[in-house]
Amino acid sequence: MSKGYVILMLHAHLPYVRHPEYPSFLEENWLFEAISETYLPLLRVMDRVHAEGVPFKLSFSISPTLSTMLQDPLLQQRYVAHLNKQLQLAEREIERTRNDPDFAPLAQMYHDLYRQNYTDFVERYECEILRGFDHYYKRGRIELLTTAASHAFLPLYQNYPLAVNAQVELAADVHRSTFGKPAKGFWLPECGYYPGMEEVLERHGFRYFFSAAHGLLFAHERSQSGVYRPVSCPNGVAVFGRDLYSANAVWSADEGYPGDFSYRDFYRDIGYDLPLDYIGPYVHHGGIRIPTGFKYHAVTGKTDDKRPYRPEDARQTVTEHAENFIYMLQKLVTRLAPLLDGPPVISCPYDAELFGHWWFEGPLWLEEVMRRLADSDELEMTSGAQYLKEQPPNQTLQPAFSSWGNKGYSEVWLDGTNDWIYRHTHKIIERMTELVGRFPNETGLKQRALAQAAREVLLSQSSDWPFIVRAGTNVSYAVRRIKEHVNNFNTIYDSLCRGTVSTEWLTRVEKKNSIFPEIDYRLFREGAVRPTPITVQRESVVPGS
Amino acid sequence: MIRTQLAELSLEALYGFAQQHDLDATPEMSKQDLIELIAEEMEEDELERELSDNHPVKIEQMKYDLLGATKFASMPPFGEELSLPEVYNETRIIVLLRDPAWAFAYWDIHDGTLQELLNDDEFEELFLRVVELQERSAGSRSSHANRNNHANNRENLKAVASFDIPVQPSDGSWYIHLPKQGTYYRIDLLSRIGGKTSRLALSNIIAVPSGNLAFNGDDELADRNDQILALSGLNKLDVTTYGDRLPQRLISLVGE
Repeated sequence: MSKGYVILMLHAHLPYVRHPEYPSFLEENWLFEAISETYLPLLRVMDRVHAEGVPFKLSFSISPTLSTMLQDPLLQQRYVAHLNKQLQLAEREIERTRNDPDFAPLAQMYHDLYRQNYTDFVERYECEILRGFDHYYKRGRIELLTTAASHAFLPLYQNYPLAVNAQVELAADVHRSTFGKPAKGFWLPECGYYPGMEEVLERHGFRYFFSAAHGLLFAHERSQSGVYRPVSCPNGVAVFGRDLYSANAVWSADEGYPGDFSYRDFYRDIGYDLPLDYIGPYVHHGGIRIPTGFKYHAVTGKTDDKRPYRPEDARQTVTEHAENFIYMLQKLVTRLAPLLDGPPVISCPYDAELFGHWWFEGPLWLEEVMRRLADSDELEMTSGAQYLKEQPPNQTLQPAFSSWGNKGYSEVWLDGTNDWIYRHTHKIIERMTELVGRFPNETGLKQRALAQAAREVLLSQSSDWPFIVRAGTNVSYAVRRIKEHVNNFNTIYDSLCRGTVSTEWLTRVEKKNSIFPEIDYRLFREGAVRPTPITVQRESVVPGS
Repeated sequence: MIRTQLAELSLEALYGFAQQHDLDATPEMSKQDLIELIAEEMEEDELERELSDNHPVKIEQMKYDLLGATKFASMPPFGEELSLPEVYNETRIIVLLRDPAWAFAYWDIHDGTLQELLNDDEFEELFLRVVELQERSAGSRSSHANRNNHANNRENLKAVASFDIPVQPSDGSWYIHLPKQGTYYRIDLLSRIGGKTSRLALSNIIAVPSGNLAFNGDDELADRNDQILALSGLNKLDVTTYGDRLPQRLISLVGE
């Protein structure tokens, strides 16, 4: 019987958003929604399968910005306030829908969800939900990876090896200090790879990463196993290629599972449906409607006339979709087995926030998939590090520039809407390097200013800002963030050049952008790293094409 | 749903939104006409995104979509207005590789240099010279290490072709189509004065990948590899510069 391995890898990331200067802030909801709809439900999934004795193996990459926010007392406190508000709304909804046979059970469902979230977050984890992930990490049930410190799209910073090095070095440090041991795998933000990236990863002890499928398929010579066995980069760092079949099944709203008509609809929300005099206190101030998370309708089809959501129907569909997923993987393994020199591994990386946030039933689907994988004789769950331990790569390749964005390269993060960003983010890297050269061993106030300058440089590089600018929603916030970080940096730069630093201003900025508290500004020291080599795959010519 | 939400906005807000997005709106338009104009634009925009964005991008967009159906509403600005320097008053050019067919270059020209150029009666033009570079040892199959060294060292690369793109003194960036893949490019910022060309700045070098499958042999192993690659999802890649370049012998396999 053919045997194959499956890596289920969930990338959990949100940009650093924290606004102590306001009593509440709309974009902090990104974190609150993800905790409520994704992170806590996924922890509960792991609790359930673990309690049943299912020998599951999942991989999570938790970005340094996300892990920092999850440990931040201010944001934890604000999340509890958010939960209380959601519970209050749930109670009002139970009352409002009490005579509605379709919606009353759903109001109760949301009440139960938020009540459970409250119990787990406040009582069980004492606001520290990373403990939940750490629990399974320490028991070997999950492998934790990290990603670039502020989630920069690294190919657009390859001219600045110091900046790329800083992103990776800090990520390694944050992971070690958060989880007590080094990460073996590195998630490249947006799967953005450029030749030479592996040198930086190796320098900081990482043994493998994932690439887009064409990162391997368009390598300088043919990948003997396609994307179904890891390959070794010339320096020994391993690469797993993303499987596109399992990707489409889970990601696609049209061809994939999440678009099933019985699943909960993401867009229809009582935040839009109910009169403002009722829902007003639960939508953003100023009367602008936002989703509340209370969604009572099923996908139904491409129509505005949605049917009420029926959780029992969705549950049945989850089972069918989990079975279909396993069938698809088994079929793939059967076809691959006679062609490969070793057991295939199917790498399935997903955005963690897909599960539960957009695809409400996603965590349940994952739970069913894990149960079935554990029961399967043909498929086995593994992680990158575990697979490499048992099946080292048998081919060395130089992967190709690639990402998982539209058209496979950089165009999502570099187009007419967001290309203006790089002139500034590049410039402040150069200025940071200049500052370190001029102030190589500072202490006291200057050291604080230099450390804050380094934080601002890193925060300006988040891939989220150009992404949001291009996407056209929350644009003013993303633009504001880029400008703020560049301006904060330039203020420090000018102050240090003049020899005067305003303690009051610096303290205010430190309190606001307090990520990476232990950062050593000398990360940006000229000569700290060798330039990353650039190569071209000269011999890549397809005959007859 | 879009129309219902738009109906909650004031006539003034709707007109403001239409103007902000360069829609063909006039102050005389009725609220209903404005709603229709905006809704149609939004539906068109959504359809365009639906067609152009791939799955990871769509999912990520939903992660950040806090406004949902009211994303057209102008969020009140927060904090004081911020601005960035327009230029950094230095002369330089940087090039970024967007994909194997396109690069993006941005540049600055020092104020003094620019003024000097513009004040010169014989000043003719500014232009970009897109220079293709190849390794001096091209032709021999060098090892990875050697090729890396070649690429890092400008002296090991020689210019083999170039073309010029005229730019205006007010320009600061440009998207450049790269005619060849599997090679290196550099972009020079040049001026022409009285028929004489001067180089103002030299960019970094970009290594442009082939954006395609590597050459494969014709033996039995190659056939097996073609089958593996077909199973790896070649027909689902949706990658720039690749789609219509699938080798003939793989086309039948990926269709299976």
